[in-house]
Amino acid sequence: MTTGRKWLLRSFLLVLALLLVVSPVAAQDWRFQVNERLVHVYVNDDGSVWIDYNITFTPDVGAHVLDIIDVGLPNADYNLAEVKADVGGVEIRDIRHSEQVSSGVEIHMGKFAIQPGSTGKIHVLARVRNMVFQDTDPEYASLRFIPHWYDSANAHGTMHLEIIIHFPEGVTGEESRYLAQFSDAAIVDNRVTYAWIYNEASPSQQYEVGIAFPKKYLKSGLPLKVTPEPTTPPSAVGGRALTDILCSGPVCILPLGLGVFILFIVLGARSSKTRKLKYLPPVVGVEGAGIKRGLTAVEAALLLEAPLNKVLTMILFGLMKKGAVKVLSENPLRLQVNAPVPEDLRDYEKDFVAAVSENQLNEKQLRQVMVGLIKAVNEKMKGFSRKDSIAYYKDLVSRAWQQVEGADTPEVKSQRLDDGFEWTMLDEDWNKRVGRTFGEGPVILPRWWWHYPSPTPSTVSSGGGQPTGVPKTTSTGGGGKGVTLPTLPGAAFANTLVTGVEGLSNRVVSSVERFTGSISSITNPPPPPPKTSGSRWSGGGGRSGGCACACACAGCACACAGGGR
Amino acid sequence: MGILDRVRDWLTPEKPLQKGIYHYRTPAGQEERFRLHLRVEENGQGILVINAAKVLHLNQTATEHARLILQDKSTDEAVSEITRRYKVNKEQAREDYEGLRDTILTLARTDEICPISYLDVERIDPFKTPVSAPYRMDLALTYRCNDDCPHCYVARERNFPEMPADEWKRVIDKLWEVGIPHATFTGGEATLRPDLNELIQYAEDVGLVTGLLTNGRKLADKAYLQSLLDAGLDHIQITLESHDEAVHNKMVGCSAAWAETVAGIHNAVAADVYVITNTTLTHDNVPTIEDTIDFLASLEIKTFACNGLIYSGRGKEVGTGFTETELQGIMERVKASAARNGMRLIWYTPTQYCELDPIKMELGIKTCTAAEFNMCVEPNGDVIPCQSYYKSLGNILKDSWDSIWNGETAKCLRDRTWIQEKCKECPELDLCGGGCPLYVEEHAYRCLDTQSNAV
Repeated sequence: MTTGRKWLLRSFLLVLALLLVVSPVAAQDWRFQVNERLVHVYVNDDGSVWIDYNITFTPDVGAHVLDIIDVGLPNADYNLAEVKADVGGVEIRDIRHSEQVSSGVEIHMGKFAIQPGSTGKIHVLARVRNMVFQDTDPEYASLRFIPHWYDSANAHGTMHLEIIIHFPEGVTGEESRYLAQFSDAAIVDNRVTYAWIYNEASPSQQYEVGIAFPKKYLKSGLPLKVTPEPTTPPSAVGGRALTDILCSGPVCILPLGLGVFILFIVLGARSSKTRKLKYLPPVVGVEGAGIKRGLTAVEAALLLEAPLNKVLTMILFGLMKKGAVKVLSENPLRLQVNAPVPEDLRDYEKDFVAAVSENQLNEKQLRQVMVGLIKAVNEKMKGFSRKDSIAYYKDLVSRAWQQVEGADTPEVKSQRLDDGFEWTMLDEDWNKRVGRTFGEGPVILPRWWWHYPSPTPSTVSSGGGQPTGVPKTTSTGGGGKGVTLPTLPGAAFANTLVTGVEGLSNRVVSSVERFTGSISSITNPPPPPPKTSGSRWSGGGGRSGGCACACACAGCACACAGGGR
Repeated sequence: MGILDRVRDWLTPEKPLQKGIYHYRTPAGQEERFRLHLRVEENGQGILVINAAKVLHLNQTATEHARLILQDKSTDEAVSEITRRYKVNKEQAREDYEGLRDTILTLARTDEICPISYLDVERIDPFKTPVSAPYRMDLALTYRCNDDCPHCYVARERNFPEMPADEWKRVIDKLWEVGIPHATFTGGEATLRPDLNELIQYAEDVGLVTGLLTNGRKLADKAYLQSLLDAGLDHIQITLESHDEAVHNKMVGCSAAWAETVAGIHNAVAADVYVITNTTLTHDNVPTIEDTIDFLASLEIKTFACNGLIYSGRGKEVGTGFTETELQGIMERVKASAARNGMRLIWYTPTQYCELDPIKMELGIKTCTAAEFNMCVEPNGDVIPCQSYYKSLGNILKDSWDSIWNGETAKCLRDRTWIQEKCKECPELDLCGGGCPLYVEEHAYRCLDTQSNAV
């Protein structure tokens, strides 16, 4: 045999080999659990059935979102207009003939797409005709049914499966027959029903059930097929399990020679592409709680990455509200610690008070206050979602403002500002919002105002010649003896507040940049290890030690590690 | 390999990694030490356990990368392997491999970084991802004990049958086979078994992280402690009930215990091993709990654990426990003391969040994880849901793992079908889990249907 002929034969053998080994390639990213499947089959007197599915899916973490769900139907004799689907009662309208199963529909979930790791339930109702056959008993008609199943490459785990067949109206219990022993029977809406219940069903297994009943309960003259083929829907999948068959039939049986070689290359390239697994971005998850609730406004300020001087100012205002500190002057900033110091101070407030020495703030101690606070917040946030928590606290800030702005009377407005003052301070647009909210009308001064330095009348003006900055008093209450509350014109109040907060923020530390820098160098989380590209792991650095049960996340393996003896 | 076989290989579709476990241990002599275990589940997804403490859930692609990381592949090697098996270009594979390696190494090297907050690790809802085996198996080698605690939760006779070392080694093999990366030796008092260090060594050789739960008395003997460490023991938990010798000795039912236990703590702290202590909070020791914590700090204990009374064995009768509501105030005191001493506190007891909410108290998410994240093998090989829940799920050497793991009781605990009626609609249920079944059974004065013969 010449070399050329050997080559040709080898090429031909390779082509044959291709034909032998090529097999369907299942997509790997559709992986899910079917948690529960409830199927009701209502047999109608025209030989059709209504099939009512309730299916609960949980796509695997990291798997593809279930955005299209294929539902196989027993035969192709159905009308799309008679297929309905909904999620929680909200109808899904995008239903099409399935491209994946020979008889069935695909439901495009749209906004109800089931995300990986979460659980979603879909309800599908479809009418399918020609489902009843002539039974072996000439007087009986029968129906056999297998709910759709899933490719084991996609579905895993076990599920609760219930198949309930409702006989045609009028069939009595004595007349009803079954194919496989049912789990339960009942009369529901005057119809005999059989239920087959599987508590640990496999989603990829076929469960066949069936019933028979006298033909007289069907419309007279209804033609019935004699052969009772099981009404088995095709294999159906949730999501998209692609069946990609390379090369079929005559296309591959080509002449020898160059054509064969080219075909081989083409097939090889296509095979190389299709035999590989689909690559999804690597996803790493850790079990943890979502929102960290219960942070104080000051702690939330750190989470929201407010400037540190603003955080210190918030602490100061908190102390003023509690009557622990009085601002003697803004420039230079001088504070007075009131005696006795209230008992309900938080740790960072106690530390702040301790940083006041001879009416001045000791910046070195303030740094310790801030370092301690940041570490405490980081500790509190361990295992919680920073992103979700930030969104939560931003919403809290927004709602604090809404509370103030929505107040009907100056008294209520003042009270709400008093209650949520530190939260409102977290608004990035705080200055303008204060002006907008309090710019008009009198403002009843909050209680802590008296721990604040007196505003400068000359810098504030209001209409009507009213001296600004000098609180007036106003009476509240009905016809009885009123409580006298001090007020200030709105514009003066807003101006004083804004300039006051700004002034304190600017003076609480001598240099915000230097202060922030000195804190960051201590509190920033340890940097990730150096990039290790191109190298193998190496020792050095880091902590040594064995197995620390230190993680606050739920996924910590130290759970309940056996105390109690 | 023949040409047809090559073609067949070339064309055969790639499949996800097979179920199994992979292990990485930093080489001996290296200053930095950590352990990584990757369990590949049936569906190709993975669970990466870092230092037997942090658990990461990986999708199929991340699992593939993680396997290569544990095999210490260079980036080039990993990229080649990934691109051979996956439809991905080299640049993407390189970026992903290095990114994941940095994340894993960061978490392995420090406890200070919260993966959710700083490493872009996705948060997933707790207790929702099914697992095929626990992360940790407690091995109760014996129910014999040299203490005699009146509140002991062991609900077995002291002379309960014990397996010999060879059978325990088969148990260890079985644990590895089903993908369990961590074993703790317990009892009774595990140090009463003369073959303890032999079993530690075996488990370490197989690849497991090993720990010891002990009353610490035998650790007063430095040579004995060293023999355990030489065998490879990774961590120790020693029970100290009080700084007060009389209180401790009363609580453990032995007049000579305190001195030996404290000596054991001294030795362990001085040794090269991770040590924590544990204290059961009862009416006997809580009045002076702050002093006990100060004492632990003076012993240079950095981390200590506490738990409430366990309502099993003698614990059901002793009458020195607190209700969950009462524990709230006590835990505030314990927390304050820990903070004052700069110590880390671990709270073990799962409680009903309506009574004691550990999340609000910043004690972490605590839920009963029996038959889920942890289980226990009894001295005769029977598997029980946890160390204090004495209902056999099957024998680990005689029954299939599937029958044990998916048995009615195990599933009942995992699925929370046992919970009280009041819990079923509670929005906290996902995290709370209904509390400790043993506590609920004791305090609700009702017999949980599926647990009527539990103890």
